[in-house]
Amino acid sequence: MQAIETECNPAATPPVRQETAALVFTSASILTACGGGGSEGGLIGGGTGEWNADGSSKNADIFFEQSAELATPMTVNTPTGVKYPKLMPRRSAARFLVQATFGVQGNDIDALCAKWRSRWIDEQFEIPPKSSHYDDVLRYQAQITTIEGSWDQHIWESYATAPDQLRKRVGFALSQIMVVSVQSLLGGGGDRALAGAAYFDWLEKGAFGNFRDLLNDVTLSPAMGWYLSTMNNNKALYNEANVAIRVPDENYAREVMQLFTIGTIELNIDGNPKNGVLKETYNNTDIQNLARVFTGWRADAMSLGIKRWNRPMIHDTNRHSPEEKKFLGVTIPAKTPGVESLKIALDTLFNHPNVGPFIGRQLIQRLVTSNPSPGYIERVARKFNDNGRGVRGDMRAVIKAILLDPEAISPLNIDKPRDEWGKLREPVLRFTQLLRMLEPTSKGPDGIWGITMANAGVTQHPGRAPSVFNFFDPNHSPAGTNIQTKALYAPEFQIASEVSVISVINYFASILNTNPPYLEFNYQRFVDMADKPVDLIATLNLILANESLAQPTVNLMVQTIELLPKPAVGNTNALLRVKVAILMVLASPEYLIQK
Amino acid sequence: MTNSSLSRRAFLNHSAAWGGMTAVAPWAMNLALTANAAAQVSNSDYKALVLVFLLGGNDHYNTIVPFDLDSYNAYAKVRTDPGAIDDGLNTIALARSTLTSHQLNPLNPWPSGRSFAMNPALAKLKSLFDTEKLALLMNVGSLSGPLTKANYLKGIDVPAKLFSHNDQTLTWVKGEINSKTGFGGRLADFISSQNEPNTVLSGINLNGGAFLGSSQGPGYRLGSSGAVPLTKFFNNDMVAATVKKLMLQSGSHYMHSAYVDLTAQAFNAVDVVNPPFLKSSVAGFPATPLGDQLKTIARMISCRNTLGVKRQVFYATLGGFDTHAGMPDNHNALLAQVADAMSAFYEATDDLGVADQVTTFTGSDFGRTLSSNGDGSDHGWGSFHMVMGGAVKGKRWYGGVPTIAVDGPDDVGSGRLLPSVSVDQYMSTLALWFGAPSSILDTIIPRIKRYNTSDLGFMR
Repeated sequence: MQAIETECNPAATPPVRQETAALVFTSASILTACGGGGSEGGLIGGGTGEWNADGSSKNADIFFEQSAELATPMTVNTPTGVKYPKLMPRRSAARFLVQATFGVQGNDIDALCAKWRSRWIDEQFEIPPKSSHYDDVLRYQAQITTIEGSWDQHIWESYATAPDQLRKRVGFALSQIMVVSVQSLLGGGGDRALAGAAYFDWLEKGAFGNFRDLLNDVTLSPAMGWYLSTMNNNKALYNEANVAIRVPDENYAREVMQLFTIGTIELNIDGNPKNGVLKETYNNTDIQNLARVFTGWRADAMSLGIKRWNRPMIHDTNRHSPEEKKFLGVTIPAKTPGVESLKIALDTLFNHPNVGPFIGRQLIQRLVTSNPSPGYIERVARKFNDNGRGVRGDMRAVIKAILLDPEAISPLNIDKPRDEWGKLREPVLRFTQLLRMLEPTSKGPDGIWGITMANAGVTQHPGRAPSVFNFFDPNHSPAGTNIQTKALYAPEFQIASEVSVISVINYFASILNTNPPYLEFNYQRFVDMADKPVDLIATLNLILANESLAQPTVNLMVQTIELLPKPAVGNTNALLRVKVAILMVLASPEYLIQK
Repeated sequence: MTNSSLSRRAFLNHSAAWGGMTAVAPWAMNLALTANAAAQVSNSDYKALVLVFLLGGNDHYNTIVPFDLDSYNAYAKVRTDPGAIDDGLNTIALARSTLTSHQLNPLNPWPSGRSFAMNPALAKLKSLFDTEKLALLMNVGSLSGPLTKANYLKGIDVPAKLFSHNDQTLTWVKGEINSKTGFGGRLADFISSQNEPNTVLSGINLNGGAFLGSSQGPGYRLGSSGAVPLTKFFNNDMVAATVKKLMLQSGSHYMHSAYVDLTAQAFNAVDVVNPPFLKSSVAGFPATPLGDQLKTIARMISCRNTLGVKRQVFYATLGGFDTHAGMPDNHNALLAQVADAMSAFYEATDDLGVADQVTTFTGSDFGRTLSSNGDGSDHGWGSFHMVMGGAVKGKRWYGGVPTIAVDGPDDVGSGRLLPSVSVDQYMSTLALWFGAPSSILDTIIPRIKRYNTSDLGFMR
């Protein structure tokens, strides 16, 4: 959090909006909080000054949270005299796990509370994947008759159970920015499904690596080669009059710029249009020239069998465009070898000043909030540009900048969320939250899961975006709503419709009502609370909604549980109470907006 | 919103139709005109507009195929890789011999020496062309105003972000990338008062999208099995009622209230739409993604009297048209799906007695290049489209017939066509037929006054 330290001046008046300060600060002694957000600091704020005996604040304070993350003793004393809080507030922990994982499982919250965010992230960086998507899908293909089912069952199992949650969560975010729709590959048979699985492995490798390497892997992935038709893309062919009768495919050249790296408009580091002017980053001539770079790539040797779908495409000099390639102000001289041309092209894209704000903003949107302030985008982009040790594109630094930003960790954003704060939870993450909470175990052969047809039920599915434009557009703003009137974005609304809002709840109910084949859920710790509806709802409110359900909502839920038959030994009343409680939380709009 | 009807929320806080425009007053003033104009339309009739959008950029050259010998040869030569280097002969052009029986002989002749054929996969639509139920719009595309090639080359009046899928799709269906509303949504706003009390049913999405975005919302989304009701959870009425109550719990956060509004509309539709819709049936539709959507529209149209709706705009979409690879086979299969679904839809409207009152028209992100990459084509601009229905002056072509040539007069690169007529004019012709008075046309199609005509003449 270099940027925050340097910008922080404890003596200065905190950059907190007047109305929020009045609502939240009850103790002037902790008004030294510093958000580092300049004029965007309105989203951050303080706590109520209530303290637990162990020195943690009851209602967390951003200053305490930052102090703890930085292991920096605070400059003010708490009522208990400690210099910084020992335990992270449980509500903050639950909210962080929503941003950084596929949901809370088991004792995740307590484990995080003892570590705070930064240490948890450092530990996650070092957890290797238990297995690869490629190997797992191959195993599933041996067990399950359909190619489609092998992908679907594997990916839910992976997201719900993998220990390297942060890697996979960021990988899922990247799968929505550098999109290969595995769905489009599944119809092409088992080999293509394996290429799609390998693509998800490579995204997850890139999630904790350097963006430049990720860009290389994405470009040379056979899955991408199929999806955006770089595989077997051929150089131009000219007739006797020197007129091109075949030209290179421009598909990847366009989308790698438009979607994967720089976007269509030149940006300031804070994500706003550069100098306030909508200036396009490239034109069609740039694309036609860049398309020449992406010629000559093909799948690795046939002799490798299916393993070639887990290896980068290889270069075929005979198919590579020998012409000069001029794009984005760079000229690759004629006859430059293909591998060298690719290096120059990807270096050019990687070093474009747009990448930090363009990719940074979208990662923030996927993990934290739909409308990050310009200051938040800038803080993340600066980390992309330089991790503090002179390295550009360090994804670990970017992830930390996103998840430890004052806006991401501010408790105010749970208590008094402004309209630009938060995001509509996407159905995939709602479902993984449910699955992780219920700790599914398989009774199936070789441990396979029985989740099928989840695409229709959940209304969204990992790897099944309808196009390279993902499930939703980062700039989507639903027509005819206040969101649009106030020029805010809410990408996830693009897949919310009169059909999906009800059918997804019906699906979750069906999962609770009847376990999918092979799966067993662990309801025990909730069943133990079934005769204490207040505790039951409080626990679910913490795990699923980071305590963002308002008291009237909680009361309604408690009353409803109390109206259900009382639990007793030998009957299933307890289980019914638990299932109804879970469904009520999942259906509540206060839960649905992630804060 | 009541439980017995699907009413659009009251007009609130109208901002300009265009995102970037600050002049609110003309829009508000025009809304008043809109309401007056709507009141004058007879309530004894019914009209529907159905946009079938081909997502990905339809390859128009393989849809309405150049057939006169010179044009065909130019087309085939550019689209055929002689295989001098690698895998042998590779062509994305259709063989001329397969086109002979699919030649189009319009009532208004093609320009001298020119002719076109329909892709054989569109045979069912050619029959509708021959019986004057279908017309062709030649070389239509999104423009900022009339545009010459000279000005294009100078960068004057060139639309933003040409050749980009999402940007050109948004431009096609809304008029401008950043417009808050779509052409169909603005039209729905204009006619919604005729659909009281079920004004929500003015604009209906079958598969999502921005065409029907209006001041009232993104358009009502109808699934092929009607509105989705809430399950009776755990066979317990009290639980289901509580879940419903929770789903409708109001909140002040914008995302919360927008989600609850959507949910409320979904619940109301169960009560309003399902009783007639679930009883309706129409025959003859193929079980394909587009067939299902057009079947659902036909069923909805069959409920028009029960629901008391007079004017409706529908939006159906079919993906897969970004044919960088797999041409011509993948494209032919998609066109066959389009032809099967659209011809079934025409027959269904005929059976319902509303063939003259329902107009179906195609759209797409853009046309494609004439040039081939050996296996497919790339993103273009101007395209060929179809308008179908009993009110269409069919068996004719409209717009302009482009020269088929790379570096020809209509080419802006690799056979990307500079459009002869604009999507604005395409839309305005349909809007006029639908009942929009020409005096308010620019509230729906803000740039229409830049063109010398707002009526391309293809509607009766």
